[in-house]
Amino acid sequence: MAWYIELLIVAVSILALLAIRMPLGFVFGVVGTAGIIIYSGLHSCVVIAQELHDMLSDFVLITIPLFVLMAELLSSGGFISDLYDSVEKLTGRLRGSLCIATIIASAIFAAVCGSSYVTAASLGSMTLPEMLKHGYSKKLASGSVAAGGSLGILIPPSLAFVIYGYMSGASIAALFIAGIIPGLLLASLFILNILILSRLFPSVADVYAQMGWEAKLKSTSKILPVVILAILVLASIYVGIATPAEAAAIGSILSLVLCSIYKKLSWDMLLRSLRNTIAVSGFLLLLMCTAKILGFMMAKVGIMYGLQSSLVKLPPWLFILIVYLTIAVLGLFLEGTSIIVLTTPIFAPAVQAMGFSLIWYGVILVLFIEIALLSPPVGMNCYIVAEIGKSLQIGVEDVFKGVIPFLIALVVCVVLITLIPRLALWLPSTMG
Amino acid sequence: MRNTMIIRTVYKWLIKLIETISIIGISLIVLFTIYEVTSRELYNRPTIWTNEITSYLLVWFGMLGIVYAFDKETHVSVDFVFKRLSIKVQQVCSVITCGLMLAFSLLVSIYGYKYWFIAFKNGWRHYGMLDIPMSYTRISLPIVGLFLVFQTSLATYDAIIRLRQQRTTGESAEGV
Repeated sequence: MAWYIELLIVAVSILALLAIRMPLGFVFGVVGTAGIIIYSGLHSCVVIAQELHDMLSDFVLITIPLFVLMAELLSSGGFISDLYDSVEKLTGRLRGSLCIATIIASAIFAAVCGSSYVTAASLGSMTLPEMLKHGYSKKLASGSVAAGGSLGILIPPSLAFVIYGYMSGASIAALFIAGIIPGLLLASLFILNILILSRLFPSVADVYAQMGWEAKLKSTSKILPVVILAILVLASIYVGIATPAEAAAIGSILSLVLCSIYKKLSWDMLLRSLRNTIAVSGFLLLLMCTAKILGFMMAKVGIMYGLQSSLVKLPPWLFILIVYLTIAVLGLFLEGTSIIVLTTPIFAPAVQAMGFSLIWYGVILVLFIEIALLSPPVGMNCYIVAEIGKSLQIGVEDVFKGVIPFLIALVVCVVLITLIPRLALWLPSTMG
Repeated sequence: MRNTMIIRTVYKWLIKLIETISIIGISLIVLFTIYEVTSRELYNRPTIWTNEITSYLLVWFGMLGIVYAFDKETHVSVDFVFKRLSIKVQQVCSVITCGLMLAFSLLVSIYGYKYWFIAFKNGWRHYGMLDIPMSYTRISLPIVGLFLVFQTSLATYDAIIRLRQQRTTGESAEGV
């Protein structure tokens, strides 16, 4: 059977199982195992056990639960509300300041939290009532929370980069550092978006109360702990003192110390954070393990070889276009981590063979995942914000309409990083 | 009815046990990793055992985390097609989904056992300074596989019961 027919069968099987609401981790496992049984017989199923075991015994993957723990501790410790409160006071003079504060607080929180869901959920529950109380339009308010949340996976430390780095073999430390400039660029584009919208349509956003300089300086002190923590974690990776896994452990311990200093540490809060860490890590690790089983099956059957040898024959511009379109289309149906684990084994070797940088591709991939997080019908961030905003009569349609300007900013960012790869590659090239 | 009550109570206790072991596991991973950084960077004495131990702990933590995530329903699924289906079709789909997950879990436990047994019989050890037997980490596969079989069997049973109830309600509604 030709490889493209086999690929079609695999794709249809995955979509069919997704349609009947099978959890993503099991979808990849079931399709991969079925392929192995059909191609090599039942006795080859020992590969499932081998892939699960070998993958989980890799030290690099310790990064995942440790960064999840750090984010959970800071989120449960209530640092995010202090963060938002301070940024809100600092930006008060501008029209649309509450939305701008949401984006800035998301960017800062993203620097200690690798997940977009946690960022959107933590900020949404606090910022949405505040914005609606001050007469902001539902669309702009919910759109900025969903878009701000998506920064969580671009600004390091990012779980998406850990998973991509592990699957592609690219340096996770270099990926983290590569995400800084695109992350700041995207946050700036989001803020520019809000400024333009609130200038063109003044009714969508108001000016928040003005604060004196003394009050502003006082409020800055609340941002400092999280900012210092983020700088310490990133700097330890940048100068080479710690690996990303070790930096995550340092971050977790420092988060615990911060919670204790600010009297936010309690037995309940600690247990809640640990429980969430186990559950989130379990989901991510199953997804990665079963994607490896699926990847093994696709390599064994010959789909990988057929696909990669066809891709590398294409002219570079067409190759890039096909890669972008594939990820964008997958983003309409799949959640971010699944896109990484599904496409990386296929595209990363081809990207390298075509002479492109794996680090650059990683940043582009994460930007597309951000687009996926905000695009219907799956757009997970939008559903999270809609769920939080249910009591405020915010529907999922409001959120999807609200994110349109932010999606345009994301596309602009993808174009800029495609045309100027140094935006992503310059900082990693200076690493120690 | 009483039997299912007992089974569910046992299940709750097992999840509690998994939670406790995983909490201890993640705490040890954090402590060992911190110990490695401090002894290497502050005292210039890197350890030879921390990375190895944490990798083995991750195998157990990750495997148990999969079971825990299943219980807490953290495993993400996509439902934009599913929620557009009729309730009857949804319940049939749930039975199929649970049945396939049960089959996958059975394969993990059976072949996980075989994978463990080879290492156990031959006395294979992990490459590394600690010389730890491979069977210590590989045993997590059949154990967690069985936990998954337990969970997916319960989920399949519940899905079949819901489907039966739906049929009975549908038939009685037609009769009226």
